Amino acid sequence: MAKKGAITKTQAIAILAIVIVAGVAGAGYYILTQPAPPPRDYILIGWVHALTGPLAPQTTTLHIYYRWIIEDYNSTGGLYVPEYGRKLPIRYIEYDDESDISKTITYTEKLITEDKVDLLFAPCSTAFCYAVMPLYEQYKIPVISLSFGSDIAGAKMKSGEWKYSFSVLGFPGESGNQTAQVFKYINSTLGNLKTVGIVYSADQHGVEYASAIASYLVYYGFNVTSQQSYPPYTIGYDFSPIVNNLQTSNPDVVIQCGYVECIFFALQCKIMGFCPKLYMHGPGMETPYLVHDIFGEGPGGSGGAGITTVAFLNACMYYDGWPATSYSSGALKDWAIAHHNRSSPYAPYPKMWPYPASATMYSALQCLFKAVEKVGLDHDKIKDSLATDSFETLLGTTKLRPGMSMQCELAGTLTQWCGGDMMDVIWPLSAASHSIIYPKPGWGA
Amino acid sequence: VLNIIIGGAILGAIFSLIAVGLNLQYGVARILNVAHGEFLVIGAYVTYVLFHYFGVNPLVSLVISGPIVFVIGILVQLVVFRRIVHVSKSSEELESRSLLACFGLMFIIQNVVAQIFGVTPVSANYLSVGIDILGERFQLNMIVAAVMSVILSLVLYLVLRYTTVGLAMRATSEEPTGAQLVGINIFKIHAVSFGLGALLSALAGSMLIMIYPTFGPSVGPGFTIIALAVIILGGMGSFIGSLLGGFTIGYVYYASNTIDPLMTYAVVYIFVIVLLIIRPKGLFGR
Repeated sequence: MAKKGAITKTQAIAILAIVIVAGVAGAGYYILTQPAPPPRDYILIGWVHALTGPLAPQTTTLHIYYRWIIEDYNSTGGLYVPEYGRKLPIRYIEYDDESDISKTITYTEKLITEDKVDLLFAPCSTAFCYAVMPLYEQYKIPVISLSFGSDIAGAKMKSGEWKYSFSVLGFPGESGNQTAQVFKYINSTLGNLKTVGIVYSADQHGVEYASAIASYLVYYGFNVTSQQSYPPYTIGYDFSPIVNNLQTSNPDVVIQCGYVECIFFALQCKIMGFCPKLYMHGPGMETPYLVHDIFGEGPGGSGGAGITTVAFLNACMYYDGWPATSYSSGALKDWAIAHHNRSSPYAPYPKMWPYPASATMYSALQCLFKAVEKVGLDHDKIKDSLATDSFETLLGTTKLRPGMSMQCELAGTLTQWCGGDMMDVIWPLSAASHSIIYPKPGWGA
Repeated sequence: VLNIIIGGAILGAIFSLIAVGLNLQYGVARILNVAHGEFLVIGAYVTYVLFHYFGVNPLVSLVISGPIVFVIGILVQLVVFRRIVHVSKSSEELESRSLLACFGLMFIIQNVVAQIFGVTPVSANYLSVGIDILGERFQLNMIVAAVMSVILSLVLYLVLRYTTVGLAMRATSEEPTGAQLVGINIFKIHAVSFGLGALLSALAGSMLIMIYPTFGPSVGPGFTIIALAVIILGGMGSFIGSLLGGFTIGYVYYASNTIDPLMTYAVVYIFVIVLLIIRPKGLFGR
């Protein structure tokens, strides 16, 4: 017998039924009254970078993956967008900033306000990326900068002042720390390494990396004998006075925080008869298709300088191109071969081997596309997803970290030319594909 | 100091050659060719093609790149500037119109070269070895380029001084109306002068590409800026001024590059401005 005041079983079922019906009706009403996404046939992506001017060589090689990833997705029907419940083909708009920052800003704003792109890819090089980051905040559009590293920007990203900017490569402080650690290791196991001379391009990249690396080296007891700047974005610059100064101070290591001009600096070091025990270069000299074309046709080729390319590059180390991967085994070996075979239509070279961060760059773009596949085209949701989610990419589980380098399962930090077609990972030792070469055995025959 | 003395001379000789061509174009044809550096780029790429694809020695390529760019220069003068000369009512109008056309030419050449060869740096490295001079080490290819530049400048001087064409050029430069009265076809002389200026620029480019391993379509304006400083310093239209101005700027450039590379262009132009205040027409300006 039921207690007085308690509801009967029938009443309970009736109430439960009413609640369920009301809930379903409410949810249905909510869904039906939501505005439908505007009809569309495609997704529009835009980017501005240097197709002409002094930054063009690097841009056209580092950013080759912008087109590749779009081609890859389009070949399978496009990018899946949840709010449409189907894949949409990707179209793109590309502007040339002529290596001029003011044009980068103008065209980026045009892409956002006039062309109304759904997604943006970033410009090339630190100063250019930095210049447009305030626009990302202003228009609330999440962007992953591939070729960028700035501790000033990193602090803004970490503090939440810049929420829509994401970065991939090692930041100056991270690079400085890693450089100091590998130098400590070399000094304790491979040979004397006490003094360091630094030369740097007087742009944001050069200034920030040179400063951070010098700070860490001094902190760990190394003697930074000189820091010498030179004008930025120069092609055809005469480094011989700087090389003369370095010859006088004769440091164990020379670090150059610069771009493609590193190649000429290194060549002038050879000509002037100056070979430090270790030469550490910046972005531009890690790209096989740039250096091999200059010194000879293809890996191992001999150029007009009378130098075997591989011998010339041997033991040159790179401070910035990480998360870096070795392409000598597994899935990444396949990636390198595919890269090599795929590249010919994109440049005046028959084949192009990847540089250390090639897979990293492609993986970062995969993160953006996977975020869209997960949360749709809402910029705030993409931003939140990029900031918090991990994604399965070419490099395994990958995560963007605001204000820091991208975290990848299959990656090391510092790389070195070790006699192969591509650079090898040499640090940390747990991720190394080759042992460190020290001291550098000359500049080649 | 010795390093600056020798290094400045090497650089100055190359600057002189580039500036002499620009000065010839301005002095005779009254065209301030701000696309001068782009003709240098064309010469450099001709040498690059000959060296990389046909194995031609860069120094031998001078006899090919020079004439090719000479013809291109004449064609440009005939197609672009001849009409401008015809329709311009004064020398001021000619200078302003041709200046604008030259800016256009600069972008056109840059973009055409980039389209054909791409933007990746190229080189035709040759004689890239060090050589000791009085205990200082210099690049052999730079020294060769400097010596060649001096020789080419002297050859040009002899052509201008002792040949009929040279005489016609000087006459056209100094008194164009009078030159026409004595039967000189100044339009032909304009074309030849422009072509010759382009040729000299191309020869400089052919030598520079054997020095620099990072040579691209966009390097031209840097050399034009230096050439402008040289001819302003030496005096617009003065051959000797270009030679001496080239060496002076070479020394200033090399010295400031040794002391503080970031200040190089600033120091060069401060030097030019101060000299212009003291001597407004330059060292040898008329």
